[in-house]
Amino acid sequence: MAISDVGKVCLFSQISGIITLDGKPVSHAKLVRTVGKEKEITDEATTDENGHFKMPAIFGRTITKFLPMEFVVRQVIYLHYEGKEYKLWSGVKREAEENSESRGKPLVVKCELNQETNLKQVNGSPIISLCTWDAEPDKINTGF
Amino acid sequence: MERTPLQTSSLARDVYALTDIDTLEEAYRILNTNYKGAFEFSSNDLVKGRTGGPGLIKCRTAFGFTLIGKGKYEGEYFIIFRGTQYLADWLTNLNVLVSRSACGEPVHDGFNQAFMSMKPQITNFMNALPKGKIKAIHCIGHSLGGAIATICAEWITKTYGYKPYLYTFGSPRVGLIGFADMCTKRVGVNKIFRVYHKTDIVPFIPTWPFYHTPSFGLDYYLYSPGNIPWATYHNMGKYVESISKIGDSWKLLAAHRHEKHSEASIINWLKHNTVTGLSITALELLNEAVLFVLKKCMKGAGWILSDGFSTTFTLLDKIAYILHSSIDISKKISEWVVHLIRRMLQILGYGHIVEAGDLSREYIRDVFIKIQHKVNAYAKDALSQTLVKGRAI
Repeated sequence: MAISDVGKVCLFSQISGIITLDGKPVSHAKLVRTVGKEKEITDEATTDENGHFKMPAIFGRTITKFLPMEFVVRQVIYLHYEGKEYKLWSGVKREAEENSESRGKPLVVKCELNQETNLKQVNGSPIISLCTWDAEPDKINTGF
Repeated sequence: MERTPLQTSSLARDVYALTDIDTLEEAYRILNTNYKGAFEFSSNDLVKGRTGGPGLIKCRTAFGFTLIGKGKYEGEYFIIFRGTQYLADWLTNLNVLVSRSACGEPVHDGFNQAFMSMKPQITNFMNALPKGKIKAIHCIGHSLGGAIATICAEWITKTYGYKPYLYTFGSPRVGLIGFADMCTKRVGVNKIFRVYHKTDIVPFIPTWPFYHTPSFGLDYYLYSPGNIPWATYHNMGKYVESISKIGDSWKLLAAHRHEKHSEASIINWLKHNTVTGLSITALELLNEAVLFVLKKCMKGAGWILSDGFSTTFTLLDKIAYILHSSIDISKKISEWVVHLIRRMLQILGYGHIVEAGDLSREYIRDVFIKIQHKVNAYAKDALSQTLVKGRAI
């Protein structure tokens, strides 16, 4: 770990994949990603001809004054396509490591817009999305 | 009936994600899945955002969640608190302001203010509960959330004449001994579950004259490796992990309990004569020793330290006054004061020998303030490790 990495945390890992509607690629659609709650970071991407997209990892730094209570980061992605808005991803990242959403592997998703959202929990982070990706979900036992 | 260690620690952990996820509907969906429909949400609560039902408690400095049990859990109500980034500032502030709790006892003003900011919403929730049908109210919190849950529990006993259950995980010390005693008595020692890891630094601060609730009876000590405070073991996830390893019962947890230092071991420590660094054990013993010597000096004359509206520095001044006055009263007691100050000087790295005659009130006060600085610097150090690890209290 380099000195410059001290206090570096991953707010949203690099995410890439393919988006479809009824199985057909969703091309030239705009993705808007928002990270955090009070101090929001937003970025955008567009799908290509084949419905592929890629968004880089977003890193942050912990600063004494703004120490988060535990590591808790809100993650939201909206997709805008043919005048409609789809909530592609809504989660809370609870681990600071990169790719914690996919247990250390690169986060590569397949998203189908015409379906119900599903809830997946990985590394203590709940994610409600229209996507599937390769990561073993948590075994949850709350005692209830 | 009380809820289990796994149930309460899961709620204390999940309140972070539940208060942070984008919408309340999403929070309810996660709750329904992970808690197998144990909680009731009517669609009315969502649409009208009516006050008094289950949902978010939202304030600038604090967050929480209120839940209503259903089915097997009918008649049970849950108030769950999480902390904020302000905790670090409050905990490392040396000169803490003290204000009065619901019962008029002295508590950390920062924690009290955080509770007060949420009180209107908790009042709405409490007022909406069906009277006569309440089986249990559970106040739950991790870290600062534990401190707020403690203040909330005392407030419920005073305002509603009801004894809630109180569960805290890695909570800092909330108030002076007067508060700790009052809260323990009012809530009931059997209804308080204070869980802490051996090497979690947060339960060590603020330092005396702050004390933990319960001030007597059982607490639940979880093993964590080493003798140096380590931020990792403050993480709520680590608490759930330790509990899962031991088993989901308070009895099993109590079996892991850390024996309180016996009077003999405190006396032994006081009379010991070597330069000591700070460690978890030294902190524990120092804490017990201060209480031991103060009690000797005061002979049950009542706690002068339960004044409200005071600051740490004026409290330390009072401690110095009590210790200094005792030096003249009896030789036996003055010996204890000398032992304590010697040990404190050794912790500060001073090897020289002091005698009773050297101890002016100003000198004693100065030693106490220096020790406080040292303990706080030690705590800050542990807390800044969190920065390096990229996570925080």
